[in-house]
Amino acid sequence: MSTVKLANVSKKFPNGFELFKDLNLSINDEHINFVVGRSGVGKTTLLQIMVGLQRPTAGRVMVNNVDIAGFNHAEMLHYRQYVGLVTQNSSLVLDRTVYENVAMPLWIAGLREADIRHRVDASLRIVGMSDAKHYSPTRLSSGERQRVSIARAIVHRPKLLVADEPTGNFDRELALEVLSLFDLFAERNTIVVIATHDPNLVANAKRVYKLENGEISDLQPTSSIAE
Amino acid sequence: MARVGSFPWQDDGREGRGSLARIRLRSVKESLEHLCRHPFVTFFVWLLMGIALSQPAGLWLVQHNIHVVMKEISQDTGLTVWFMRGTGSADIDTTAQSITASGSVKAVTVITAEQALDEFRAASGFNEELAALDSNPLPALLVIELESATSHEALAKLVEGLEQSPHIESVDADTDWMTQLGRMQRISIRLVWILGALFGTGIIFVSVAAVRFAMDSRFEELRVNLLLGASNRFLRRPFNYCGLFYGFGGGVVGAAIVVLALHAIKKPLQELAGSYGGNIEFLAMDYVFCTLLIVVGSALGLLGALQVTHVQMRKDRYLSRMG
Repeated sequence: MSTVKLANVSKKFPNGFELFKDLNLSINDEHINFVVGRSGVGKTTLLQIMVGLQRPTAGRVMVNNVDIAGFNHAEMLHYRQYVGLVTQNSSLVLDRTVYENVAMPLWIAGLREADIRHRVDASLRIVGMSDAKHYSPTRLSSGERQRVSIARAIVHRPKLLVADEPTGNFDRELALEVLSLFDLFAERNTIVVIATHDPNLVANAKRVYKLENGEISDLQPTSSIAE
Repeated sequence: MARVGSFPWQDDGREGRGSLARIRLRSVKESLEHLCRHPFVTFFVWLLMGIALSQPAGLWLVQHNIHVVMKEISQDTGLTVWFMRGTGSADIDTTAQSITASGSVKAVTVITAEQALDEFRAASGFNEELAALDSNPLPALLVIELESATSHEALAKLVEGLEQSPHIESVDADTDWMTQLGRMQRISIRLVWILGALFGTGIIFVSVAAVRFAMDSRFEELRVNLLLGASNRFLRRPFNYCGLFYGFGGGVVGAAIVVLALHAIKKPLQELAGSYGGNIEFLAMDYVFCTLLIVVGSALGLLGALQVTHVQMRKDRYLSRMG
């Protein structure tokens, strides 16, 4: 079983603001792990620490018992190749086609063009964007862009899939559809972490963590979230 | 690829050895795509680099051709050594032998004072007047034919040595203009180096600016690639190839400029050579020189790209932020 453990993690910004202190969290690949909390509470920063986009001020970030907080720059970049990332604003390259955007992690990995084509087509099919593969992202709606972003996050079969408000631009039906995709990955031994403030998304969730006032709490059972 | 001593997952060889060629090939393709996407920028960069490369290359050809001309003309140069009147035949022979032994002459002909007088008598017809003279007024002389490979420097050294001999009155060699030409050649060699350094630096700057433009135009892509875990080497590679291709194209344009310029002056140059009675083969742009120019251009373009990508990647401007 794959695990991510945050041990006594603190994050303090150069201006002196301390977002959280001695934060402890343990997640695994059994179910989708949700991190909830109001805006500005530090959900994005927490996710960034998990994927190595930010380093904690103190503490350890253990991924399968390896402390990634101690990685150097090159090691961190290599680690990131095994991570799928869905950002709030989709982070697509606008002067590349949808196909090229999704293929980017595979280019980095140096796969054969035939394999890339196969995997990109499969990923776009999963998110229902096959017809748009030659489009520029500028032609897509924000919801469609986010689906392309998800396709890019899963195309290289990541070990850790992190999504920051992935369904923010979706209607309820599409949000649940996308959630089922994440579920699929959780079933395939991928650690899935989703930060959201959408209560509909976590209604049936099995693992929900609430970030509040610099502290994280395990919200179980699920019913308590709605309260 | 990152060296990972301890890694959370089993390394499945991403960006590993087997795929490096593919990654490089893709970088080459991306670079060429960038050049095609910005044809005007590419054209002007090539033109700028080409002009910059053609200046020292053209000057080098000019100085090299001056050298060829000097060598050709010095082949036809001979010396006449005039002895003091009354110099004994033993001294004349010794001088002739020492000149022959110097190695830079093909033949030395001794014309004694008597032979000179006979020749003069035969040529002038002043038989009676010359017969009335008490003594022979003409000195002995040496006519020296130089080896074809004798350089201007060796010739000047030989003349200088002869003039120091106490038996020699004078040495006739029309070498003054060649001395001037030699000085001009030395100046042009220095100019080649100075211009080479200046324009070489210029080419690097052009490459830096062009690659910087390429990086800025793909800022978002760099940011996203970094987000996805691309290594600095992966990010830098397409831009380094861009610099290489800019330099390569600049080299081709530079060679074309020099070829065209040489073609334009070929006829008057041959006429000039003909006026000296020489059959001079001027050095033109050959395949070796063209290749060298392209290699130098490519190297300078790459150097500029390496510099700018190194500096840019050291900055944190491409580091991504989510959300």
